[in-house]
Amino acid sequence: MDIKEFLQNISFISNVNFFVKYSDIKYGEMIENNYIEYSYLDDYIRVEDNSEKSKYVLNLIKSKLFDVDVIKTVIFEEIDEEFAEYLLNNPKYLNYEYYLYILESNNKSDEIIKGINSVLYVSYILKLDENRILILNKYDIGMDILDLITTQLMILIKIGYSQFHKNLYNLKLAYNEAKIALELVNVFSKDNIYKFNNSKLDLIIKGLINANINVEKIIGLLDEEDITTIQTFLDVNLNLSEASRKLYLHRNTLLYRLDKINKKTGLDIRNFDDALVVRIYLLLKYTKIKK
Amino acid sequence: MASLSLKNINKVYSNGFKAVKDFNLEIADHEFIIFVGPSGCGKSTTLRMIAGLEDISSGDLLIDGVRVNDVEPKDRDIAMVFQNYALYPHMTVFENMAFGLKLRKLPKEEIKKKVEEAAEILDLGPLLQRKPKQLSGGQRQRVAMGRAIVRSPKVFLMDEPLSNLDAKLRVQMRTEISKLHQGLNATIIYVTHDQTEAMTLGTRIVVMSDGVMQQVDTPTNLYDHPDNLFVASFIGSPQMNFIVTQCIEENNELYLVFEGHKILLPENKAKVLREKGYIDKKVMMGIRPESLYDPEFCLKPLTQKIKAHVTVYEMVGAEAFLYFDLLSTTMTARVDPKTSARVGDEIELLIDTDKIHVFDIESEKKIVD
Repeated sequence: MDIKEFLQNISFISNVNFFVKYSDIKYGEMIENNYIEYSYLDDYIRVEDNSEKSKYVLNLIKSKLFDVDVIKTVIFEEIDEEFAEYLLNNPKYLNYEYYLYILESNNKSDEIIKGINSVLYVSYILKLDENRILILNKYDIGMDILDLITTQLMILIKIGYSQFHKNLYNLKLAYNEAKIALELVNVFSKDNIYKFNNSKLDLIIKGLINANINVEKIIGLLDEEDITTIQTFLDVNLNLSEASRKLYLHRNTLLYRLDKINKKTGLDIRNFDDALVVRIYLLLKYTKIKK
Repeated sequence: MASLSLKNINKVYSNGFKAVKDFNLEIADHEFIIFVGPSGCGKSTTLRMIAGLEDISSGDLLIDGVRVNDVEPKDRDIAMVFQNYALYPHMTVFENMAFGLKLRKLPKEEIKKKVEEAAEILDLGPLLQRKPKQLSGGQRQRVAMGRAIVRSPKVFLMDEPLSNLDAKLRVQMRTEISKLHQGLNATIIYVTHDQTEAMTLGTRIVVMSDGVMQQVDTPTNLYDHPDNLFVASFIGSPQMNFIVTQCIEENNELYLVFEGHKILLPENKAKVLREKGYIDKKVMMGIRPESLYDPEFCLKPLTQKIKAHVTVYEMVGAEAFLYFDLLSTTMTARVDPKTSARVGDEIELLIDTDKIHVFDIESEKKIVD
């Protein structure tokens, strides 16, 4: 199909003013006011008003140019050869840059989508279900979304998002990264937002959470003072002086506490390997798992 | 504006992790209450429970006498300013401030009135048509406050709003927030990890650690009469100095003894230690840096001394800090800037024994101050 020829025909027949941006094609005169618009990723169609005729033209162009939701198809459906070729031959999909966000709320998807659309520009937004929304955007707007939803819409939300990706072939991977990040929000984040990072620790922790490791056999031996001591000591990279300062303890008192922990658990957290084991157990134990 | 009541508030996650433990606090109308403590102490979790962004596991939260545990955040009549606020770049200052009201479908005239009133309070009037990128850091911060003010809430909740600002701007914004509190006559609950910020802003401060409220008091009382070791060490910069000492009695006088030192305690403190049975026991002595004096510049009639080997000397203008080691701990003295003490010197510092704090080593609670 020759897109420009198609749009010329529509324009001639309908006499409706419209503007189309589709990949590197721009057709028509830009409409600044009183328009209705359909947008998909960075492409959009604008028609001059919301008369029945204009809406008909908009839907006609939309069905010809945007006949498939590529994002949804790539992530959730099987891609056949024909579709794969369609993607390969379309440079706008191959070169598309994005972060993929998954937002999780308690039954507030519609309200959140409305709020986001009123104020933020996002490339793509999809309601997955009543609790979850998927967003693609070229720039990292995670904190913007969080602030909007938390302090303006006043809705409790969790956000997990992917690393930066440069083509839509990676969509499924990005989606899985965002899903893992969402699960790890409770482990790593104070703010209810977490970005997947490439460190294998994310995958290890997720695997360990799923494996339901019994952490009680070690952590159950420790009291609250022990936990605080260990967490502080680990946070300052096993630096005794720094830890004693942060804990407001004499250095000798801290050493005494570490020895006490060693006697209880058989783990000397001044030793890196033992510290790593305890760190992981604590991460698993103190995941803020919400009901 | 409103009073708040937090009664036996607990936050427990399903894996047993207790983020907030038996939190009780009455906040009067128009108070500026600060929650302060180290990272992970539960202060933000408590704030989020007040906001309704976290469920309360047990206990009651009342705003103006009405229980609001199950009330949605947007129906609690509160407004929030968080650390990572986002201003919408394609909107003007006016539109940024109006946005929340638009969502609530207020009439245009009312929105305009509220935004202009808030702009007046925040001195943003001339900037209403600008976009965020045309604003300075302080102006953007004020717009973020403005978004909260236009809601005319009963309570403002602020979670480390100044943490992303540079030091100079933080100091400047602190005074602005203080003026705002007076101008708005608002109830404000403010969370910070910075004890200096807490001390300068709050009418009352709640010091938290490990999910537990350690002490709630005015800044002056927290500084002069800390209830326990944690509060004593957390409040005050530089930190209070701590030494493990043995409490002994000789000739009816009480001394705190540690490595080569024997510090005579004033009778009012000695009396308390005797009554509470601390003779011949180990106790923790605390002394603030400003209660240690270079003898050359001390105008008080002090007699008790400690020996110090100076390891670091810092002249900061109006005063000098001497860092020295005692019993493998680094301690600090805040002395006259004209001191001749330098790195490597063996000096004697006079100790103001009236300012000594004594803590129980086991319970870490105050014995006497």
